[in-house]
Amino acid sequence: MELKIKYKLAFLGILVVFVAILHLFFGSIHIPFYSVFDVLLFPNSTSSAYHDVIWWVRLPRMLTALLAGAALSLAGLQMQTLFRNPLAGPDVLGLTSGAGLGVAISIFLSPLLLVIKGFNPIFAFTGAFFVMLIILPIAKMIKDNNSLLVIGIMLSAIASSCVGILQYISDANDVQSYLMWTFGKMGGLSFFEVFIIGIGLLVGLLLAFINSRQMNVWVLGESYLTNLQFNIAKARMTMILSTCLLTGVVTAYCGPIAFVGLVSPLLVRNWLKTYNHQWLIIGACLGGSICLLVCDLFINIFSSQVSIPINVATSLFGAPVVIFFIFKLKRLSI
Amino acid sequence: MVFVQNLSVGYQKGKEKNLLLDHIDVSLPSGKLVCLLGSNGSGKSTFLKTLAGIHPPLSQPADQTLIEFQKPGNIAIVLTDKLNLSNLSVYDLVTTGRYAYVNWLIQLSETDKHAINQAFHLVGIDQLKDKFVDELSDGQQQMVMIARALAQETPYIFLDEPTAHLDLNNRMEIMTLLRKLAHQHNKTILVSTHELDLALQLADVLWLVQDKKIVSGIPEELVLDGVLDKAFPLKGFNLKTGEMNYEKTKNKSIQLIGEGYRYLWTKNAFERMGFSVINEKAEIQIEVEKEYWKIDSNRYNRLQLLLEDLINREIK
Repeated sequence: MELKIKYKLAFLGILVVFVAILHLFFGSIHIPFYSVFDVLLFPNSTSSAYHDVIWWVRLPRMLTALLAGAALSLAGLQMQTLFRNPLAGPDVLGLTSGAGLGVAISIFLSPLLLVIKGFNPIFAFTGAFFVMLIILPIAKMIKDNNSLLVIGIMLSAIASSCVGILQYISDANDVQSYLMWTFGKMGGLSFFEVFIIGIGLLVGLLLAFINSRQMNVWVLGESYLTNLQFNIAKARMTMILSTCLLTGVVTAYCGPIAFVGLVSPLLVRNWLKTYNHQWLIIGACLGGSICLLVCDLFINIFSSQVSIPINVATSLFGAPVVIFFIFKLKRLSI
Repeated sequence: MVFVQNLSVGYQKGKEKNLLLDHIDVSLPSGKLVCLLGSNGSGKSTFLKTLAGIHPPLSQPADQTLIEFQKPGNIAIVLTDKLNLSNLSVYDLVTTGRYAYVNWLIQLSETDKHAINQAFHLVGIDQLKDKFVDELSDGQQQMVMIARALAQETPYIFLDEPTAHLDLNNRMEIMTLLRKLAHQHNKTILVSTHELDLALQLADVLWLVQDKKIVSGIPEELVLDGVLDKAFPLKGFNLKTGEMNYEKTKNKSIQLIGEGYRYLWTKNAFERMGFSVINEKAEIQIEVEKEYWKIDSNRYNRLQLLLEDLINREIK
């Protein structure tokens, strides 16, 4: 059984590499395939415009999708485990809405704050971080997971209403630019920003791996964790902290990417058919990467005709896939 | 043998205390099957969890015995909650029993693998290794959880209501398995249950929750002392004789002649219907023969027909 899971993971790994390379062949500017090959195989020999586009535009975008997909999927995996609920995603703790509020403040109140518009990542991260500062002590005080879930949703609601107020009193241009943020974006990040997402993913991944034994026992109930001498509070906080980091850093740079964090861990769980988080962590990361890369690939392929925001694409392409899987598997479980 | 003294069990919410068991002294004999009996809500589950160290006691015993007893790797637990996960494999579930011994990379050593296989073997569920948890029946799932506890290789195993939701066959199977583990593999097994019949037949020692205290002893002794009658005021059942007492609703007596099981069950049937069955001459006389029942020279092949006739005659 374990061997089968390893084969499946290897398949996902190969698929990630394949989709990632394929992703470099498409973009808003048309570049002939042989030129892409040329640039990729001999990066130092050419110094054409194509070279710059591929290395400085397409490569960071591909890496963004790769890392963000993995991060969101891993965050969703941990939330599903924590709440023992297949409907939990990275946004259940209210971080995404917090980031949204941060961005809304930066856009709508920029004259008051004397900041330049478009300096969003820091505001988004501050918003998410602020919600994290609220949710961590709450999680420490309230031991019941269902209550925590409801509180997360309530925090989201509060943040969204605040955004609503700001939208209501602002002019149309600002509302438009906030709306653009909510659509999410993959492109336009510098290597440094991609690097920061990578660091976030790495730390989140490490926390998840260290916690994988606890997550495996988590579903049996807290008594069994105590019986095996695991610290429940520590295991829970590790899951929450890892999720906050992963979701916060991605939302700061890419906007609120929906769907991937909910769907890809769910599909990976049911395809690998395991509850061992050692495999699930790897699988969720690979699955999330594939999911976001493929969606962004579609956007790039059609970008010459029509421009689709990433958040629309993930749901538009993702939802039919999920429905298909439900019909095939009959039942999705965490 | 472990002595625990002065242990109080219950729940504390703020300043409000809900005391379930008050300053308990118990001794847990090694290599025995101990059944913790009590009615619903008497606090037996909470006591079991407190003893296992997964629920905080209301007052700690003054000495170190309890802390020493609850040290890592000493007690394994099996609780009642049903798992409903289609992606959790039975093997992975049993493997979690070894998690106290493996590092965070979950690399199973040969010792770990041996312990896991041994656990499957002891419970006799080798054929379930490749199944998933949601493919199991309730009884099988309980067996898997027992295997998981065995994989922990602890000298003590505590089970909370392991036979709840199970049918009689499965209940017997689980309890005899636990008895075997205690007697042949020197495990000390504490089982909380409200099923008096199984506990009476199979337990080595009974712990009886009564008036916030625990009375312990071998089953037979507790029956003879009448302690069980007090704890289980069963209406219409005499624990010492094992007989049901039926209300005599019909004002008729029957003289029943016969012997063996057929006699006993026939007697039971009439008593259930409200007749009084006596051993001396009565207005109705029934003979229990090997093949049939005889009343006033009428023969009946089936007891049901005899009963119906008798009741019809009664009405007339």
